[in-house]
Amino acid sequence: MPQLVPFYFINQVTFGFATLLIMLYLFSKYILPKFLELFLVRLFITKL
Amino acid sequence: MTYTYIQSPLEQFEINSLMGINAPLFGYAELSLTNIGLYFILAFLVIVGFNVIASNNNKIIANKYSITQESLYTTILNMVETQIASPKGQYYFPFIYCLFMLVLVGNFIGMVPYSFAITSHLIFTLAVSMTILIAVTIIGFSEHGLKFFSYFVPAGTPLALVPLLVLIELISYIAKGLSLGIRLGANIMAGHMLTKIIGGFIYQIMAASPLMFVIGIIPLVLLVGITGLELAIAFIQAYVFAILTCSYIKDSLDLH
Amino acid sequence: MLQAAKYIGAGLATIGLAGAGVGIGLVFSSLMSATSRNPALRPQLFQYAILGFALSEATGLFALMIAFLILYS
Repeated sequence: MPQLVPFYFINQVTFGFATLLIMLYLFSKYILPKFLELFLVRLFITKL
Repeated sequence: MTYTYIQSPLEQFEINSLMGINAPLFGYAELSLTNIGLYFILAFLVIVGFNVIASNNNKIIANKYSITQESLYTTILNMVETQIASPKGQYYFPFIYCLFMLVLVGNFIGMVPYSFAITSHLIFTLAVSMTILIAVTIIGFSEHGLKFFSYFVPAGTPLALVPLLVLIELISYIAKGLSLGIRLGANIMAGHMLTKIIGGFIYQIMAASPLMFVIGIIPLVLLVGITGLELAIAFIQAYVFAILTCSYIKDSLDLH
Repeated sequence: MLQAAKYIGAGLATIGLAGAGVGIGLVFSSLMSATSRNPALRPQLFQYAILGFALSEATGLFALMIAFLILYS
């Protein structure tokens, strides 16, 4: 099976974790709080 | 009598280096951009681009993309809130969201013909799931201290059965981390191989003669149905991966 | 000789898919009977059924993966 060629193990795991960690930082710092703010603003306009 | 050679269906999973410096630093390490790395970057750009478009220049009114994004957001938030009921559950929402989006977009990019499925690589999925297992163990120890070991002994067992039960629970604890990764990888891999094998057979049937070309349309319709099933499986597997991660975190937060 | 043994082994490994088929059938049959008893609960039950379907399908895929491992490595 070509998945089990040990030559590329470190390469793909490094790429995968780099992607996941950068994404986690971006999302938890910038993107998801913005959506939460948006939902709060909508709640404020309609209910309060 | 002509003998036709069937290509190996595993050919689509081969990793090859697109560009890079051929300098082996530590053993197997090599500085190069492989096609799996390219598709990781592609998935990253798709996810971040989709979320940036969905924010609609900070306007309150939603556009088409933000409706999709908000329904995904509420789905995952509901999942996290119902699975991790304890007040600390919200804390893990960005991680589950990132995991779900990466697996989902990776599966969907893999379904594009002549493309490359990043989640079909068992090493990557196993690495992620073992990382989750270790992280869950660390969460359990930091929450409960040495009381975390009571996880391995169900309440109300007689003393004579304790060594056996501890062994069984320990094995099942490790196996649930392993099966999380293997489930995702094996599902995507088996689906891609199935479509490839059936597609190869249909090509041979239809290339034989004009009569067989007409008959071959029937299995072609079947293949389209199977591809639709694969699209459904791509979503279901991402959902299952996220929901099981939630339940593992909940297990170590609450100790059963 | 080794090639023939590989083919026989891969064929035997696919027997495990029978169990996965029984499992998926059980999941959906119990979904049907539960929905016919209480149709109001359908969305929630369907969610659990999808989860059970994925879990029981995965066990069959383990057998399939062993077959691929025997055949192609």
